[in-house]
Amino acid sequence: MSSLAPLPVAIPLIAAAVLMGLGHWVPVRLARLFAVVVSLSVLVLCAVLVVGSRHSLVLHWFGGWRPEAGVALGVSFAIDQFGAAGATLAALIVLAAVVTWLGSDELDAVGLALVMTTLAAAVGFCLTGDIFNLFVFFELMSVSVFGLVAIDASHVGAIRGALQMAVSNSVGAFFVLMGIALLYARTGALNLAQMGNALTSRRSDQLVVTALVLIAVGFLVKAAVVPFHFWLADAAGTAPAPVAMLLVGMVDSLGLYAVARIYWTVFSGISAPHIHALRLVLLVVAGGTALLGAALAWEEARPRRRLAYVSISHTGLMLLGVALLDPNGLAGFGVYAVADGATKAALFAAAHGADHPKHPRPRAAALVLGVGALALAGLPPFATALGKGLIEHGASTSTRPVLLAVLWFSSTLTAAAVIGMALEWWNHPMEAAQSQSRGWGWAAVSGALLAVVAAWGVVPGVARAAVRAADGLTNRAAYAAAVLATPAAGTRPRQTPTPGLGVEPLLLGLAAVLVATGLAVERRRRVSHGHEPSAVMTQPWTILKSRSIGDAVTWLTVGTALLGAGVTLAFR
Amino acid sequence: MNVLPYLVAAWLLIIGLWGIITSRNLVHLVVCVSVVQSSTYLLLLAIGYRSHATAPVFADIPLGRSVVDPVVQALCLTDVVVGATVTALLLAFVLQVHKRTGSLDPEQLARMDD
Repeated sequence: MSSLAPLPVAIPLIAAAVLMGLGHWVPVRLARLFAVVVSLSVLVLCAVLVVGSRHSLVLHWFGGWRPEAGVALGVSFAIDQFGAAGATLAALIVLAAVVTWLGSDELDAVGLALVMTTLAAAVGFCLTGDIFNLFVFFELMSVSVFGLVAIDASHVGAIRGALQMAVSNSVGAFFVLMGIALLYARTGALNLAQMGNALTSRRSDQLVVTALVLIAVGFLVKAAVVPFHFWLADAAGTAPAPVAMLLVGMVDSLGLYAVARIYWTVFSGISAPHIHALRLVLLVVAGGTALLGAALAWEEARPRRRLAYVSISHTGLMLLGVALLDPNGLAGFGVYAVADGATKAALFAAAHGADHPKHPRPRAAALVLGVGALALAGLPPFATALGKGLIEHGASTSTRPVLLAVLWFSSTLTAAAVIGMALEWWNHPMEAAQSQSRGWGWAAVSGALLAVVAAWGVVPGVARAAVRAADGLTNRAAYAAAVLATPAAGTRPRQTPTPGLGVEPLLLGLAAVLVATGLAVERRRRVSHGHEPSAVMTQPWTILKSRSIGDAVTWLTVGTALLGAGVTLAFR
Repeated sequence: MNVLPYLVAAWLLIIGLWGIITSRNLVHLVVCVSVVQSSTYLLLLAIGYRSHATAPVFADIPLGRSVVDPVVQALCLTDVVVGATVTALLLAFVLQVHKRTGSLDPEQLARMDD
């Protein structure tokens, strides 16, 4: 199993090189087939790693540089079930995006090579046990996605989106690097486990707090959490839809995964005395993102941007799971990230089918939006309901009502926004003769993704497996002992009980679907009567919808300062 | 080792961010991104610096001679590669923007429709 670990990174990297080298000589159909086969094989390998890591970490030390006496000089892949599941999600979304894209002319060998690099980087990002390695994979993923967003160079909007994304994400990446440098200065280590051990034996100080804030901000920029969300609205709103599938299905979840991974392996020991205050700070960020994103989605008129705001809102919901700093919440995040990532990717696949400048939209796309909205609302059997139930059970009894309200309100409003789009598209359908413009790959992909989300929700034992994986990730001492091959004294495996969810998710989901449909229908009626929808709300929101790079970086700076102040206070 | 390099790193970060925020020209904006990145180079090298130490090349120095930390230098080198890639890509985007719109003003770009 250990020798298998580097393959899901190495295979797509080699494939990217082959595509770049031979792409001009082979027919583009062959190149596309090759990319599909490679993505599929990576998906299978990652799934094998999920199974292989269910009892213990899968460790791979590159070049055989194993740790000695608790000091790791080498670079490792340290794969637990959570990381392997993240890699599987990445491979699934990449496969879906490639298949969706097959019918379009703009996808050439260079584009495929960039997709393969993105896949390799995303998988490596999930599997690595070294913080600098994590940063490098993060940058590799970012740079390939920047290129993919702007792959159609004739579309100025997409280039602006790419520029906006590249500047925001690069500044975020520099913050991460500064945080890593500060942590290295304090601990003398780059291995996550060794850093965690070195920090746990100390008291917290301002340098550690600053490092925590810088690293968190860098990855929250990638996750497009408010107020770092400007780039996602612009990039997902203008990029080719399959690239937007990567952004909303994979990149944002991986940003949050990194926050969870680094918090639990490095900072959880040193921040244990301050966990309540820290939780509060993170929950405020998450709740604000969920609510503001939902409001922006409801208010936005352009379909692609509306879907981007839906995605931002749901990233906030995922962050709620991470922010609870609790195994149940984290398990909820894991289930929700897979379910929600696949749902959002299905929505953008439908947008791809509907996205033709001259042709009206196929009714099948409206249908996908409608079913996707049910998943967004959290209606069982869709696994989003399961994820939300787990997140909710991660909360203490005092925060649970507020958390429940935020979860329910944001998912209802985003579902209403998507149902509104579905009604619009259903009533302006496309004639059958024109419907071949985009092929039908998108329809197959969105159908398959939604089926996966539904199946993931009914397979028995998903909740228990997720809680067990979260127990593994949150057990810092056991992780460190396994990675550094030191005696695991006093590190009993955690056994968080899996909560029983009962009928509550079904009732909440039904209520959400009913209210969302009501809202969407009511708004449609008003629009057809000539009332401008929610004109009162328009003004204050424009500030959060800016497309200016300067505004985005201003908010990035202000957000960093505010989060820094919050976390510093939490550590007092 | 004094505190000066850290102050310069913080200063580069702040003026770089200020430059990005207030920029009226996309090429200038890309250079400001590079300025922010320079602050990370300085921070990394300052962390690994030791007084009266030499370069960490062990071929021709006597045993026991103290050297600066080679790890941060390796990180810095990787950072330089990443920075060159990002800057080149950003400039390529800026070229495309100029080719399509004839303008380099970020605010004008922001006002254009999707």
